[in-house]
Amino acid sequence: MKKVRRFLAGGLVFAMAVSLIGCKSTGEVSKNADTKGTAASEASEAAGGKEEFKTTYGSKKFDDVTITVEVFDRSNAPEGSTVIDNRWTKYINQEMNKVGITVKFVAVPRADEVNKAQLMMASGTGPDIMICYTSSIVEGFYKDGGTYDLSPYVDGEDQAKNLKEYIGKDCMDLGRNQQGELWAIPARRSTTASTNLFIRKDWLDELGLQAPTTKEEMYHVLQEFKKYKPDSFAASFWVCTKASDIAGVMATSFLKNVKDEKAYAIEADSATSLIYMDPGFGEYFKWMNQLYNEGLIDPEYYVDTTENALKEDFVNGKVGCFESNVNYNVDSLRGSLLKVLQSTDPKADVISIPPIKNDNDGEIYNKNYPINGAYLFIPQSAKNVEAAVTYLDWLATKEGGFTIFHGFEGEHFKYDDSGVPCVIDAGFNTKDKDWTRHDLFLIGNQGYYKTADEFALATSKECPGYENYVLDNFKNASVGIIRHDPTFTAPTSTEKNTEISVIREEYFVKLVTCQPDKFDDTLQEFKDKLKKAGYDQIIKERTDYYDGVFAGK
Amino acid sequence: MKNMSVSKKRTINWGTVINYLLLTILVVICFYPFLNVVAYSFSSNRAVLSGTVTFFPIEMQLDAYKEIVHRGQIWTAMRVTVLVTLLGTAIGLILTIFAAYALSKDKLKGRKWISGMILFTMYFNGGIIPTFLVIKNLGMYDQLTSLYIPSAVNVFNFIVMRTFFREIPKSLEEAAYLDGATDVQILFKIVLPLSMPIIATIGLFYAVYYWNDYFNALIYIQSPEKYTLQLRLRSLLFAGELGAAGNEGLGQQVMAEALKMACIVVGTVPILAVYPWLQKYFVKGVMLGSVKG
Repeated sequence: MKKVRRFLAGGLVFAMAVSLIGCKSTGEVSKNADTKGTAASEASEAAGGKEEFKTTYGSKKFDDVTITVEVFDRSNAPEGSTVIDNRWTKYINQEMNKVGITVKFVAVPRADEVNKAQLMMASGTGPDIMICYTSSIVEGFYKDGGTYDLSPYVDGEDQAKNLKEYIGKDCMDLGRNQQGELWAIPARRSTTASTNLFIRKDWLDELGLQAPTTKEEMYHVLQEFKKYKPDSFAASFWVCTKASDIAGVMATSFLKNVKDEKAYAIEADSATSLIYMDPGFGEYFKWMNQLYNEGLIDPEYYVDTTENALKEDFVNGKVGCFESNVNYNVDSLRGSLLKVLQSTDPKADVISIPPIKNDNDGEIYNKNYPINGAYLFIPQSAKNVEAAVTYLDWLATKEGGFTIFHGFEGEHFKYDDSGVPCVIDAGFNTKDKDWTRHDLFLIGNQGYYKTADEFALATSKECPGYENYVLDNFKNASVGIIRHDPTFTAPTSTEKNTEISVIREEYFVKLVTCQPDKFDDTLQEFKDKLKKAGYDQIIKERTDYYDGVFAGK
Repeated sequence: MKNMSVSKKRTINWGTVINYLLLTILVVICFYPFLNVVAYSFSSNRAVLSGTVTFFPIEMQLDAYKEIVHRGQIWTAMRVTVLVTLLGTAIGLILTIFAAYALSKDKLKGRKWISGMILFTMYFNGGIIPTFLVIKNLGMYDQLTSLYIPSAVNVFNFIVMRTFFREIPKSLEEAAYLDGATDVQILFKIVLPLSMPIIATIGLFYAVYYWNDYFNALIYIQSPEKYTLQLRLRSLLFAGELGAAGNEGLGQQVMAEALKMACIVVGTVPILAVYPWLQKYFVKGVMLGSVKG
């Protein structure tokens, strides 16, 4: 027995020694990385700084450089090709070879993007250009010294000209910190349209009603809907579908602080933040509570945690007015719901309407996505940052991103009268390029378009028979004063996320379903719990971040 | 006489009827989710969206399955997974049997120490990143070997098998010794034939583990042509919910729900089909044990 113990003890000591050696060697690795980082920045300073790197496509011929680029794998590659080897990756290489760059793609499963990014960063196995949708993670990598500051490669007058022109200063600055260092290149969204209010047009017509523009009119319409179709639900607004993230377009019409851009940016961290700070948000819940107690919304709405119930209600003609993602009614991505509804009820018609006027100041506010989507960053393991940025620059050109996204004129698209590229044969495009075009076109979200109008016009051509619906949807989602979702988050809110989510989920349901006379007490209870969870700290951190990074921009 | 038999029948019937009824309800409860998935996979887009599908497909169609056939990667992934499962199970079984048999013998010197070392790995491991670096430096990164070599022996399976070997009566082996058999002969000719139930059980454990393994593939596999089925399934299932890139093309997403369900069917049926084949070993094993015991 003693012997065994001695052996075990020996084993333990051995194991500890091994782990210590492990620590030592990783320590060395990171030290090496540090020196490499400083060496690179010293080199750029020594050579008179920014102008040393030539990153505009065509301005420098590279000496047979290979770069690696991350591409999302969505398991949708057609037979005979993969996301890393297909017609378009070949096209990219053909064009990039002209300046001496070979591009190799590295596939990452879309659903595990964050896990994979963290693993690749920790082990130094990441490709030269990486992509991530979460700003705090990417900024964290930079703070830890894991990624390059891209400003020496982008900010010079002659550098990355195409890229800067396509992305624009406002969008680019979202990847910049207080010191002006560029920790990532934010991909620009072609459209920031985010949500729509939808209503049954045929019900309105039948009842001789106009589309509502104020809270009172909306309430009246919902009551009439309920009388007209007693077995349906008059309304389904944001909290009925997904009580997370940032308040929906209907809730925005109640907010008091939304008129102040700074206040909104700080408070709209999540819906919880808004209810903590904005008295108008409490009014929204009071209104929802009234609707609920009068039977105007699904009495068991809280059971549905996905959006499936709304989808079912939509195609079964069981909901009168609701809010959801922009273009929800006709978007083929979501199953062309209106088409499905009309196949059983040809008279049915669902249209989007502009957000109703703000209850406090009568203005129309539209909640929109941030102007950027993903963040592109270059890890310290990259050997040739200049070439990598040159590739991003090429993506902003007509031969680059435009062709990858829209294809070739005559084969994939033709220009309409106003010069917007329009699809010729959607079926062919789907198989030939649409499955990978979004993922190869890194520097933009939702495609290569100069303006949001161009985007809407081109998208409408992809929904034959419903073109005007699409145009209206995007118009209604962009009308009035735009408020973009903030892109930054407070450390405390990340830390306390789980705790806060639990509180939020409980009280969002309670606020809507409680007896009207208990509402005020419930709201106070909710706020007290948030205070306890550290909400004052979150607001303080967000204010500091905003003042530090966005003030004066 | 006639009356008696009728009343007798009746009494028997009541108990049986209730039993059958309860069991049928239980079967339905267990079977319904699966049947529902199958029904969804064969139903039309309209029926899926309107949420009316329950036990049987509505507006039967095969589009989802055609789509899967069209997407060659599912088959590539299926091949990879089958290969990994077969190799992983075979290697796992062989190593586990050898280790467990040797360590179940009292005459092996230092066996407690070896067992201790093996057990140690059950409680402590290096963590994801260090393990990843080890595998990478061993040259297994982006190789299928990374999926079945590092996790070749499962300690829990090893313990179960060792316990089983210990319970095989020593007299059997002693008899074989007297007839001049070597250790290896005893293992293959005496012990293994007696151990079919445990081999079937452990083999199934390994097979299910490799079939369902997703995390290792996520970490160690880079090339799309080496993705395993679970990795593919996950990316298909979550594709619709991660529409961050906006419109990803017509048609492709229209089938989303039915396609997801079809993928689940394709991913589950092969491993489910293995169970009936192994069933007979479980039954035989129980009988064998009772006779020898």
